[in-house]
Amino acid sequence: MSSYKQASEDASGWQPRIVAFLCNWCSYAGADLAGVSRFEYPTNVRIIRVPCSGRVDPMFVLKSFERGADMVLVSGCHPGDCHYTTGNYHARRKLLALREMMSFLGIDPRRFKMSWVSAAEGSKWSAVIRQITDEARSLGPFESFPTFTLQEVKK
Amino acid sequence: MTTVTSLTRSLREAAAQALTSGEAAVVIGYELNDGEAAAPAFVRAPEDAERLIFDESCFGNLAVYLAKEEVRRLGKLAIVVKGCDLRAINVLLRENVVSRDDLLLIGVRCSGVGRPALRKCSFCEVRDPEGCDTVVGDPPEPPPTDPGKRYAEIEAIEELSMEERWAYWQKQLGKCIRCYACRQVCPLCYCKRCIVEKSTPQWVETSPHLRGNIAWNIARGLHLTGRCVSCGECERVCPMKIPLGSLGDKMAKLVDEWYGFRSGMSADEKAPFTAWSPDDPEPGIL
Amino acid sequence: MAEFKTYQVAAGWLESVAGALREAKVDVLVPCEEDGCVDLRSNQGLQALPQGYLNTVLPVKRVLMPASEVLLEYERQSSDITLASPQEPAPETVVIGCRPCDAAALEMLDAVFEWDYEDVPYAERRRRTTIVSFACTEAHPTCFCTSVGGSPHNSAGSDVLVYSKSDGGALMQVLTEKGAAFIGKLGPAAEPTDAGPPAPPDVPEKFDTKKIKAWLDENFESDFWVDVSLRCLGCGACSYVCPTCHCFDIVDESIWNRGQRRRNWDCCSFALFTKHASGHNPRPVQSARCRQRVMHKFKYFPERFGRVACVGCGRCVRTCGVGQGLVSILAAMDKK
Repeated sequence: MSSYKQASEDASGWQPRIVAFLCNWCSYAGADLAGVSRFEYPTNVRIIRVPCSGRVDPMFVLKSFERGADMVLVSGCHPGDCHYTTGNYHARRKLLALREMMSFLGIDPRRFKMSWVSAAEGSKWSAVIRQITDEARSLGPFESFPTFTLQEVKK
Repeated sequence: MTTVTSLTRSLREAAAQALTSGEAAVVIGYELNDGEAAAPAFVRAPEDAERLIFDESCFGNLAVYLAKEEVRRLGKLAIVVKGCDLRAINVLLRENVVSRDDLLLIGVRCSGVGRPALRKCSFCEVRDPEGCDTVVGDPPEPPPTDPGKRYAEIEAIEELSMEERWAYWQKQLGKCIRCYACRQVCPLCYCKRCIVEKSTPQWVETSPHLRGNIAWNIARGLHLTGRCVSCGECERVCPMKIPLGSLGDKMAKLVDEWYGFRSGMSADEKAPFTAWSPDDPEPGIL
Repeated sequence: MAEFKTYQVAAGWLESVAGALREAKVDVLVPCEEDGCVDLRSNQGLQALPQGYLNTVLPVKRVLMPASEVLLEYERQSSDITLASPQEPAPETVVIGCRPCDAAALEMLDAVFEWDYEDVPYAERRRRTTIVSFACTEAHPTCFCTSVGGSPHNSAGSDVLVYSKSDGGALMQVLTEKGAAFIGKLGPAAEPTDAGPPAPPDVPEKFDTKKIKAWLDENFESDFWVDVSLRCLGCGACSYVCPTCHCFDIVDESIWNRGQRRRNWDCCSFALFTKHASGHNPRPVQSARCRQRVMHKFKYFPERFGRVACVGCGRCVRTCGVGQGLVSILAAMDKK
């Protein structure tokens, strides 16, 4: 099994950038548990903590893609276990609607992932990140999405 | 010029009656404007009810005026409604934008508008509007197309590959000039402050480049999910002929298939984004 | 002062001149129909204008002032800031198939954009654009150029005015140096001629701008504005498709240390158009905004620049989602 101590690169040195919105009570705690337990997973993921997956507005996902994310993950408590009782149910309906709309427009729906990771599931968290990072690497840069780029001023 | 049919006469009588009796301060209906096709009319005096018409050029969804402050302050509103317009009013009722007691609904039995008839009319199930205070017109002919086929256009797009779909939408949404005619004509886009107008932060860029246009049309499509009644006005008013109706219809198909919901069929329904079930479908969630 | 001539060309001239221009790396914009929408596009193969061509959905102003244009870009690396003006010089452009009304509008836009300050992006594009207009052979019911001092054979703003013939040939009136250069691309195919243009089609007048100005001068507070604005939805469609409307918004779009400043079309009918940072809005209701649009076009602009800011193209009438447009408003005013 290859080491995940470093960010997952492809042959040219490009690395996928993954933005993940994690609910504070379950998924963020689960990710923390993964760290404490020393489970390894690629460091391509950038985590943004939110109180609940229901807080995530589809515009957060779109803005992430506009600014260069190759993949976006939203992770929350398992259905039935939301800290706020029903937040994740609303997240499920809203964000799957976003994914269906993306798909309808021809924007690759595989770039937007959702998961349920509980506070006890450190190993699931690291498995999820390993899986989606592998997929992001094989999908390549999200070139078809119109990102913010300058015309003239060179980086 | 439109010939005065018995429907038009009944409509004018109903309107004049509402104004004379004081049941309404203004009747929102259709009239000929400058000899051209029908335009929205705001009749306040009973003798002006003679201006009202109803014919195949009465496309507009007049429900859009029920949320406009300048119209509401005229007093109690009576409104001429086709079945499709009434669906929008049902959504406004369920969202508490208007109260049923403050409205007088004058229904019109409609066999389709447009010459040739608009696409939405060919499978319309609400040709005889229900729940109005008065209804005028003869029993309408049944729709020529099976209403079960209402998502046929969406299914055709879904047959395309991902690349073909993106090529299609990139071209269509690239045409958008951000005039917001689609938003302004939609009875359900009544937010006093639209997401586009929020600048801290700027969620939807206002520039009409592809990035901004994708954000705008996705935002509007999602904000109308479970609400859009497929009245087709957005597509009709778009100066660039973008098939905006498909976006609304796609989301209507989604909530129909996944949550068994059709917007605007009654004023008592619970919208999909305000409701949930523990057993909601969750394809692809890890 | 140069004498500009009139020329005669035979059928097929359109294809040959478009080919010659493209070889010279000139961008040729012609009306093309796609999905029910006729707009100016850089076209590869061109034989003739679309069947029954009335006008493009967007006016020719969009060649000189695009719906969104980058004014400058910046990037900051610690304390170093790089600024760049991103436009390569606008390509030499020829618009073939403009209508006389759209071309006449350019004279009004010139008055504004070259007024007290030269608008560099506009002026650059204006210098590099040649306007070849097609005189109208018939009037559409929504046309009203003659009501605002125009005509279907108006040469204002054009570099060449083309009178098409039924056999595919045309009579071409050269009006400027740029027009002469265009005719030069046709070579010997363009024969000088003394022939005059055909008679223009009749475009009935729908209102009298002098009467309107006089009424506007006295009726700022009239209830007329409330009545006429009730059905207005407050969208930007009429202004965006209008050849003379030119209001714009400047926005900054940025990410971390780099960004762009853009100029985008804006419309006085939008509720936010005059909203101040304090929250106060001097035009808080649609009646005030409808009034502003009409006043600007038919009172303020004439007072400042001596002409009405409308060319009678009829797009507002055709585009309005609620069947309004300027004609019905002005005709109602004319009756008062």
